[in-house]
Amino acid sequence: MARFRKLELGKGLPGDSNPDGPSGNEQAGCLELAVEQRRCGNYENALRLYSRALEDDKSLVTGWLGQVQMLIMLDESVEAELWSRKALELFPGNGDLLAGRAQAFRRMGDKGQALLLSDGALKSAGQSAYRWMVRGELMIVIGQETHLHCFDKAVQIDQDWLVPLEIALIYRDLGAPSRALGRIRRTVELAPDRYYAWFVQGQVERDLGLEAAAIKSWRHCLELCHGHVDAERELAQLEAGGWSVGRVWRRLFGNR
Amino acid sequence: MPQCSNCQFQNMPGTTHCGRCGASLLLATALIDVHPPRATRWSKTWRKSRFWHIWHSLNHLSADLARRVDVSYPSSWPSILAAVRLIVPGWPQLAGSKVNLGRFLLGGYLSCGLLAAVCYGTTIGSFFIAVAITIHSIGLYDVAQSSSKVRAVRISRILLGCGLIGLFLYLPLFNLVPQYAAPFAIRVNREPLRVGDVLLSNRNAYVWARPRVGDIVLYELNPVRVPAFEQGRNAVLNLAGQRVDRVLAVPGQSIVCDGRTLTVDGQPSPHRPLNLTFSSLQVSLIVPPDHYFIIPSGERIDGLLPNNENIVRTLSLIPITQIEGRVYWRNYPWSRMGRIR
Repeated sequence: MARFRKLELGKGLPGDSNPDGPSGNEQAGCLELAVEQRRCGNYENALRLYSRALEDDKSLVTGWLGQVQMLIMLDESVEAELWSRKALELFPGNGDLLAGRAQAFRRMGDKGQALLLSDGALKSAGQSAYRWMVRGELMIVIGQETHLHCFDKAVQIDQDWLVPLEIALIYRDLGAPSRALGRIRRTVELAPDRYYAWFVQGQVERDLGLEAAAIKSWRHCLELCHGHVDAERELAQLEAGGWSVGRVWRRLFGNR
Repeated sequence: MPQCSNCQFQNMPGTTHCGRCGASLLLATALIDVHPPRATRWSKTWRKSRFWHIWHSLNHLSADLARRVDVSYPSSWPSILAAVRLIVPGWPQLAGSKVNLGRFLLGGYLSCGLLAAVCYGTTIGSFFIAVAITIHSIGLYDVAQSSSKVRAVRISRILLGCGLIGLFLYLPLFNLVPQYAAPFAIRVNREPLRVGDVLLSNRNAYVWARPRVGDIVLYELNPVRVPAFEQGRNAVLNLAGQRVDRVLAVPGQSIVCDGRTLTVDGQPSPHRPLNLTFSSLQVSLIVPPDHYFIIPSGERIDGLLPNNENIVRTLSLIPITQIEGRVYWRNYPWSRMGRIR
């Protein structure tokens, strides 16, 4: 089909050109891309890339764990619990998978089971930021102030900016945007060039009623990523909804 | 030295499972589905609702209960929760990892159940009931197959499961449903009822209440021999069996019928028998206690009844003991399905 060769179809996902599945390099590329998509907040794409990486090598624990985490992020806790159970059959006693299952149970509202699994996750060999993040989430749910220490521990273990961002998302999910704000500001300090961090910061600020700050954050997000659909939509909603003197002033005099 | 991908333990060559954590060392090339199940948009919306949380809490409670009861429960047996799930075909598979099979079983069962309800009282309806029960049995079979490696145990569990489901689900169901929706097939054309019509009647309608004027009831006709003249010869009509018709008067009411109008307690009655061309009946009577006035319309008794007061009384005054239930729905054929008025 020579006439289709010059079509510009974009970069595409790794493995698209290889119908037999990704090779070793492509598989590593899939994982990297999955993490990158996750950092951009594209959890659906990340989930697909984790699956693609696992198609070639099912022994990648990070792939299974990533799938579970993405399912949780996509509000599919029931499926995440089921999937983590399956992954734990393949990797018995894996601490991160136990933590993933605990988080899925927490999101489903089963605190008791989640706590048991989180205990198991912390007792298992090795340590990771994720286990402490899940622990912190559970501590918030059961009303213990130790969640601060858990999250600090997570940040201490992994210096990546994704950790405070996901902590902010946990706080936001639990209806504590005031606590999320500190974490997301830390994220933006660590990675001012990541648009997703600005986007989440905008959401947290909007939750807190800091509309001007939210608009600024989303504008930064749109600077870094032109045409970010969610940011544009949030911005449009915020500017269209309600009435305020400041908003009218900005509309009239174009203080944009 | 194969290294475990789970715990990084260096295992001896030739081993298939990790010596420390038990993970398979042959996972990389194993045939496993790596695509997770996904929630539909509908289920996501449902899970955000308060009802889902209530439902989920109930599930937790039942699971907790099952865990508590399981203390003295043989560990080799399936859990109580798994046993409870057997009630709904496909539920054990949906809760496990055989989502597609679960959907197929549940969908097939519900479809057959729906078709059985629509064709209830006919041979096709019975066929669909049988198919639905077969689908349920397949679900049980699948659960039992994956529950043990010992053949005898599997067979005994299949039999036990089928027995328990039959005893506690289908036996009560098949006893209860015919009480409230007893099918009655019409065998003789008596307009507006035709051969092949299937009517549903509530057999318990008059357990606590009495029939009211206007109710359409299924009743047993008093056996009576009516002299007739057919095809140039004297004959005798034997009238007996079950009939469906409307109650026109209750005990204590006085009836006057002059062949055209029916008067109850001196007032023209708004009700008519099912067959509006119901003969030139001429009668005047008071309905005795525990009897109901029902004209067996659609019978070939024109010209016979006016001459014999006793036959009229026998045919139209029905004791309460012979009224079997209230007819409320024509279920078949589909073209005339609907409430009977």
